[in-house]
This record gives sequence, structure tokens and C-alpha cells, in this order.
Amino acid sequence: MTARGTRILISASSFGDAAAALDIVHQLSEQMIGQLGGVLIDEGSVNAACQLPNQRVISASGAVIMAPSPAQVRRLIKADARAFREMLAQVARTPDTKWTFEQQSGDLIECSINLGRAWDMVILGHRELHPVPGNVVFLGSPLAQADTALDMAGTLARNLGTGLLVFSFSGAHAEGPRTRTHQFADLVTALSQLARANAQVVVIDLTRGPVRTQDQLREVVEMARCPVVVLGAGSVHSALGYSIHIPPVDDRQIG
Amino acid sequence: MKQPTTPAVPLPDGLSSKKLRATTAPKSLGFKTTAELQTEPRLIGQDRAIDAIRLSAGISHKDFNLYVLGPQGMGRHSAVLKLLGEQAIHRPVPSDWVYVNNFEVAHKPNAIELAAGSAARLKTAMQDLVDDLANEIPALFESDEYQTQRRTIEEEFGERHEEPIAEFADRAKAENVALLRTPMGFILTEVVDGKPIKPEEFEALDPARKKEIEEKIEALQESLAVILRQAPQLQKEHRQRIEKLHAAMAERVVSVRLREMLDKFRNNAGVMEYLEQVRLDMISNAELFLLPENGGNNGTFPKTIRKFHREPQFQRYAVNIMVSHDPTATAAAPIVTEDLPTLNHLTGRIEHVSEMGTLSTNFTLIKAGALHRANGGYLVLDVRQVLNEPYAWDTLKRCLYSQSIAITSLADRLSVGSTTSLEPDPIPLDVRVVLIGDRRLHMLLTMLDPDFGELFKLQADFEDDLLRSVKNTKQFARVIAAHAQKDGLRPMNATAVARLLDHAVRMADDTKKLSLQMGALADVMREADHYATQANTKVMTEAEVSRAILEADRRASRIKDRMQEAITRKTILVDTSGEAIGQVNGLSVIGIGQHYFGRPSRITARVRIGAGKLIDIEREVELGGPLHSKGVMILGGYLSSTYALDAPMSLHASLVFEQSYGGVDGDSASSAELYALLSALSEVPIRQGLAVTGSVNQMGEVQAIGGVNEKIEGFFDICKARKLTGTQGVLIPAANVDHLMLRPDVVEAAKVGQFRVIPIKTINEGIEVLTGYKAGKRRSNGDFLPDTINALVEEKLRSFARVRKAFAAKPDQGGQPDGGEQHV
Repeated sequence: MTARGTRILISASSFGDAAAALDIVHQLSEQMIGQLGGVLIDEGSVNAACQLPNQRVISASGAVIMAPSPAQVRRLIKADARAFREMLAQVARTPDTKWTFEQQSGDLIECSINLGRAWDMVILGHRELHPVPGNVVFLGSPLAQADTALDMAGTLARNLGTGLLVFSFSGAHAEGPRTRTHQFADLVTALSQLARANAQVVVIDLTRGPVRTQDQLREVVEMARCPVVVLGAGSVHSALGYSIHIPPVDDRQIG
Repeated sequence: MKQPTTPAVPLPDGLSSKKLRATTAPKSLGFKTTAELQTEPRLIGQDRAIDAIRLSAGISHKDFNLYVLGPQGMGRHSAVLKLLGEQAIHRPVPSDWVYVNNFEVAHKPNAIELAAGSAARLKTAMQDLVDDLANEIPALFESDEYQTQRRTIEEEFGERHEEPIAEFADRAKAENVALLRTPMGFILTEVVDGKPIKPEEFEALDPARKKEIEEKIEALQESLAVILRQAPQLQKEHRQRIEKLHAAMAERVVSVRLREMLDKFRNNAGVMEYLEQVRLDMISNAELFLLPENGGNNGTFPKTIRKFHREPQFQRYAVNIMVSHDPTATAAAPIVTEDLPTLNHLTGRIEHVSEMGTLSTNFTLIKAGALHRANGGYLVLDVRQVLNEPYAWDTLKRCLYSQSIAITSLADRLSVGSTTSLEPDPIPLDVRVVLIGDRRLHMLLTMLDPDFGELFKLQADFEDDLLRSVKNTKQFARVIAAHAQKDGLRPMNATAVARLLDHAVRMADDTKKLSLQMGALADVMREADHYATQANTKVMTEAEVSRAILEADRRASRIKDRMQEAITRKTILVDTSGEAIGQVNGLSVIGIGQHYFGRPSRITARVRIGAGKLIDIEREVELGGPLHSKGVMILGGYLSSTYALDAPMSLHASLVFEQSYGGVDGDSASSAELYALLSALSEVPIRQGLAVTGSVNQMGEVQAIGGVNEKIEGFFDICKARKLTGTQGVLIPAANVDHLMLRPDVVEAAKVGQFRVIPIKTINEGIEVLTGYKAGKRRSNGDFLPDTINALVEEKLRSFARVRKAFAAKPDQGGQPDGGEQHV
């Protein structure tokens, strides 16, 4: 966190996902935003999946269409990168904040965590699948003392005009208007519940758990199907990547 | 020159001075000044017109609209307003009318009739309703009750969205399939070792496995597509549930507030129906009441007193009062006078406002017209103004026929409007229209507009004058006193009133009548009052009134003076002394605006043998009007039926107004022309000190003419300018004696024998006065008395016939009669 405010990195694999994350940034106060960063991750798996025979894409409206060719995917990613960059610049204009944007190739979670070590907060983008506004979910146990992550979740809930759901694992309860606490014995159960909850944004602090690894974070993103605000990205073990990617990823992917 | 041998006829003395000016004796009025009089505020001498106005004002049947005829200055407007006012207090105060929004078809606003004085109450009640709801509805939607219900709905629908997707995700995961997000949408792919399968890995699989994967993926794709396609339907259901919640919440407060209004207007079905529409609209558009929360600045005032009804989104609930009456202020039907009866001013108009460069309108921009304001009462219009305004007359008739007021703009009538407009409900019309205009327009409308007679069944024809009886004269004096009082003038003494009454007689052109042109008389009074102010007198006297009359005459006399100057300087030849054959002084009247003056003209006649042709030179050159030609033809008839009945008319004569360069019309010079002709035929000269006016019929009788006073005064002024000789005068028809109201100086000259006015009944009388010789009667043997004018004329005509006969008998002469012109 800088003297001016929080340094926020928005990470997404498409403009649709990034836009949802930028909507969350909008809900943060201008004073809170210290610097904005944007990274569009070109996931190789998507490109590869598109090359499978008879591959189809299901659009947000439920239309089934042919998967794009590699060239079309490249063009789409280029267009998304341009749109992401412009929107980021626009969002940064109001608080007059410095901003940076880059494009990377690799796994979304891995790249985001690696890059996010240098940032106070990472927001992993995920597009909305429906327009019904959901709750803000805080995934973690409330602390007895000052709880920055929970406060942020509360602020987002207020600003979004919605309720705050706290998925607690310690028996502790969060207090506040329109705040409900659900107790879980383990992360799997909590994620199963999260998958069925209508969440608008999920807030987690990797330094406190129970989500601590990239795989767990990937699970959270898949289950939440909404932007995920990640605090403490720097706490994820750096060697984690080597245990997943065999052979190891090249330097460019690590960034 | 042939002179008759019969004794000469002396010049008659003419009428006595009393006959020349029938003045009013001040003593006969019975007061010293008008201050003593009880004023006479009502019209006198207009009973016929007053009865017509009262009938129109009182009759309940439609189409008994009124046309008030008469010249200006007769007091038509004030009389109409006064009489309508008397009747209006007996009629009920008409209903109020408002326009309100038509919630179903916005461009056709609804009209609602309300009891007098209720329109403003409805308007205020609707404003209060909006203000109250704008405070209460937001509070309602901020309540925990609403928020809880709304959250419940949102959570329900959130889960309904999420549940299938979550199940799908579980299924995909169970089947070892990954859901990837791409810029275009979602892709499903087989997972191998926790990673999406790569194309080369897939290619390496055996066909059966490939097919299995493809079928699995295809089934999942279809499932995902079905789930995503359900989203719009779920969204619709979600929206409907929220709207239903809003409606249910809003209905509680709206219905409570409206119930208070319904109690106030329970007796009015139109208002009840409107309020029900308002209720439904407010319930279904409750979000309108949430918008002011976000905007508007109320300054330091608390929000609760903010006038929310002024916000644009609440215009739909406004009440546009077209016409409203306060029965406590004026318990009478309205009387409306529209000075500028344009189409818009009559039927009202639909205004537009500029919004983002385009013109738009709504029912609050409908403005009332004179017909709305007069509905249930009377509308007074100047017919000339109505006819001058494009489409105003047509629209007025249309409204009267349909008995409703439909607002159509001129642009729409001409089909040139290119912006949005409205079609407001026509408002039922029950109005009595009073048109005020002149007789000519009445006649033209009667002749040319078949609708006019249908719609304007009554006419109030104002009399121009009043019989000059003793009673009427005294009553008229009181009317004059009333005018002086009304205009804030000083009182008039009896001599001043008598002088004014004499002026009224002169304006009437009849000593037995008083002119009712009160406007002109009031002008004289005001001018006289001004002179009295200058003279610092407390009472107007005859001097001031006479001066006002003379000054008015002088101001208008420039052309008259120039014409008289031309005659006295002999630029225009008119003799006022001596004798001449075939030459006589005729008299004509020239009118410039309201000012008339007499002008003498020399009329000459020349004769010779011919085939019975009488040439009217004025007619030949198209300077003579039809009436003048008629007069000339009549005198031709007189000649042919009076003289030489046993011989063909063998006269060729020509008649002319000398030095007449403008048009001549009227038959008042026909006797003068006949005298000139008789003089020419008899070769007996005519006294040039005399002038003649009067028309003649075929029997030789002299008939009355108009403008007799001006004609006499015109000749008198010329004679006076050349010095009065005592042998000068004017021959007038005896029937015009009653019309004499000559200027005092003419009367004075007649009194001392310097000028005379001689009444004439027949041509024979006239020719004797003009020539100084007997006219001569036809004797039992069929001949005129020898050496008389008539005998000389007949002899001349017979001689012409003889010569003509002899001429025709010559073998080389055709003797064909002339064609064309007037044959006698």
C-alpha cells in the first residue's frame, strides 16, 4: 500500500471479465485507489481448446457457434486488450491515478499471483452470467481486531447496495447491517455453497486462509463465477508454480 | 333671343327664415344647466334594436345569435354590453373546464367539466397529491419492509440463476470437462491430468475415445446453452415480481391519498374516472416518485415542503384549467369581448416548447380561447375583425354548428405543421355570439354566406335618428347630460344643449329628427369642454359648442375652400348673376370622410333638329353613374310625353356638367338639366343668380333629394364671396323643406332678403321662377297658351319635326334615324 492509497491490479483473460472487475474498482473510493494496473492474460489453453475438432462456443445468450480459428482468437484478444486498456485509462482518469497495462500469456491464476506480489490487491475478473445483483461474499474468518479485508468487503457491500455474506471457518461472527455469517467446517463445503450463492464479488485474504494456494484460488474463481478480490497475493508460496507446471514455465510466463 | 309677350313672373321671396332653420328654444328644455338634470343612462329611440338584443340574450334555443347593425358612434357596443349584462345575472355561472392527461392516448387529452369554482380545487388537490406521494413513496421504498421483500425476491432469482449453473459445473467437473471463458463465450473441453486437453493429445486418442469425448462435450454444450437461454425468461419474471412488489407497495399509499380526493369530488363522474386512471398510472409508475430523490435542489428549505409537482415527470398529473369561474365573485354568465378574434384567440391554441432543438407539446400547453371564456354566456365580436382574420369566421361557424370547441391550429388547417400536435377532446359549447358591424357587411353575409342566416337568426338594427318631439328632445337632453357626466365634462347650459341638439338635427338632415350618432355629438362636447377649459368657465355655453362645430367644419374644409376659390376666381365658370339660354346652375354634394359640402356646377343644354336623340355627355364618357343616366332618361320621357305629341320627336340635344372632371351620380340634377333643355328649346334665358336641385319624374313633378343643406350653403358661399345681390337663391324640391337646417349666416341673409330658398313642386313652377315667364298650361284645344315657355318649346319641337319631314321627303336623303343613345 502506497502513501497515496492501494495499488490495485486487475487481471482478466478477456475484456468481458475485466469490465466486471473494473465495475468493482468503481465502487472503491477515489482516495483508496493509489495506482491501477491491468493485465490481460492470453491463456494458451483457450487457444488450444479452440483448435479441437468440431469445437463450439456457447455465447452468453445461449447461442452455439463454431469456435474461432487461431487467427480469429488472436484478433479477438487484441481487440479485448485495446478495450481493456482504454477502459482502465478511463477509470483511472477520475481519481487521477497512475496506471499501467500489459499483456501476458499463461495461466490466469498463476500469472495474476506472480504479478500480484508487487500489488496490494488483485482483482480477478469474471463476467456476469445474469443481471440479478448478488451479495458480497467474504471468504474467511472475521478477526477480533482490525480486519482490513472484512472492512473492504463491508465497504463494497454498502457501495453496491447489497448484503455481505461472511463464510466463516472459526465460529467467529461478523457484525454489521445486512451482514450474515455462515459457518463452515472446511473450504470444500464452503465452495460448494459459494457455487450456489448469488455472489457479486468475493473477497479473500490469502495471508489468512483458508484459501492459500493457487489451486484453491482457482477453485474459488470457478465456483464464485464473479470477480474475486484477492489480498495478500504475495503470501502464496513462490515454489508453487514449479510443483504444477512440469516442465517448468519459461521466464516470460513468470513475468 | 325670343321673349314671351306674357307678363313677367316676379322672383318669389322664398321660405321664411324660420323654415330655413328649426332651432331648439333653450327655454323649452326646462333647465338652466345639465347639472340639474337626472341623467338618462339608457338608450333612447332604439327600442327595436334593444328588443332584439334582449331576445337574443334571453332565448335558450340555439342559433339565435345576434348581428347588431348600424353605423359607428351609435353606442352599439356599450348598449350590447349593458343589455347582455342585465340578462347575464339571471343566467347560471357556467361550469369550469379542465384538460387532463389521457394516460392511454397521450395526444388526445381529456376534457373534464366541473362545477363552477371547482377547477382550481382539483388542480390544487392534484398538486398536493403529487407532493405528498413524492415524500411518502420514497420513504416507503426505503423501509425495511420493502427492502426485505425485494432482497427476498432478488435472492430467490439469484439462486434460480445460479443453481442450474452450479449443477452444470458439478456435472462438467464430474465428467472431467473444463469450462473455459473466451472473448466470444464459453468453451467446454476434456480435462487430462488436470489440464484442458491439447489438440495433439486429442488427435492421439483412438477414434472411439474421441467420439465418446465429442458426444459428451456436445451434450454438455447443449445443457449449458439451455441454461443460458433461460436467463432472459428468468430476468423477465424477476422484473415482473419487482414491479408487482412496487405496485403493491405504492398502491397502499396512493389509494389512501386518493381516497381523500375521491370524497371531495364524489359527485363528478368525470373526475372520479380520471382519478381512477391516476391511481392505476401512479401505481404502475411508482418509480417516477423515486427520481426526485436524485435531483433537484431545494436550497435551505426542508425536502418535505419541496414542490415536487413542478418537476417535469409529474406534468402527467397536472390539471390544465381552461376556464374557471368564481361563483362567489361574479354570480353571472360571462360576457367576453375579443378585440383580436384570430383563429387562436377564438378557439384557443396548442403551444409548443423547444426541447433539444425540436418542438414538443403536451396537454398543459393547451391555452383557452375566447369561446372557452364565453362558454355559457356571451361573446361579443366585431364582425369586420372576424372576417379579416384567416379562418376565424369559418372556425366560429364550425364551432357554432357543432356546438363544441375543437382546437385546430392554423398550421394544421393549412397542412403545413410538421411537429407533434394534440387532438384535445372538444369541449361542448353553449354560447350566444353577438356580432357588431355595419349594414353593408350584414347584407353581404346574408347574400353570400348561406350559413349566416342559419346561425345568426336575429338582427338588432340601430336607428340612425329619433323623432324630434318635445318629449324626445327633453329626453335627449338628459342623454347628453349623461354623456357629459360619464366623460367627466363640465355641465352645459341650456343654450349649449340647444345648440348641440340643433347640430344633431343637422346631422340627421331632417328638422323632424334628431341624429342618434352619440359618438359624433360626444366629440363636439369634449372639444367644447376643452374650449371652456381654455376660457376658464365652469359651464359650457353655446359659444363653446358653436366653436367646436365650426372648428370641426373648418378643419375639414380645405378642399371645399379650394373649390370655392376656383369658382370665385372664374377658373371654374359659374355665373351668379345675369341670364343665359340653355344654362343653369346645378348643385352637387361632395363627401370626404364624414364631411360633406355643396358645389355648384354649370349645366348646359344644346338643341338642334335630329331623330329624337338626347345625349348625356357624362354618360357617353362614362363619367355619369347609373342614377344620373336614369335621371336623364326620365327627363327625356317627360319631354316626349309633354310636347308635340302629334309629331315625331325630331330633337337632337346634348346635356353636360361643365368642367366636371370626376364622376357624377345621382338624379338630383335631373330637374336642372330639364330646365336647361327647356331654356334651350324655348330660347328664353335662365336667371343665373339662381341654382337648382331636385330630381324630376316623367310627370314633371320635382322630387326630394339628399344633402339639401350642403347644396344651398355651397351656392350661398359662392354668392356671398361675389357679393349677395338679393336676387340670388336656390330652388329646392318642396319635399325637402322639412330637411332644412341651414347655417345661421345663410338664415340671416335670407332674413334680410339677400338670399332666398324657393320650394318647387313642379317643373312648370321652376321654369317660371328661373325664366320669369309663365310656363303655360295646355288648353282645351290641345295647344299651350301662346307666348309661354311650354308653347315656345312645343313650337320648336314641331318646327324640328316639320323640317325633318321635309328633309326626309327629298329623294336623295335617307332620313334614317340615328342609332344608339337615348331617343326621346
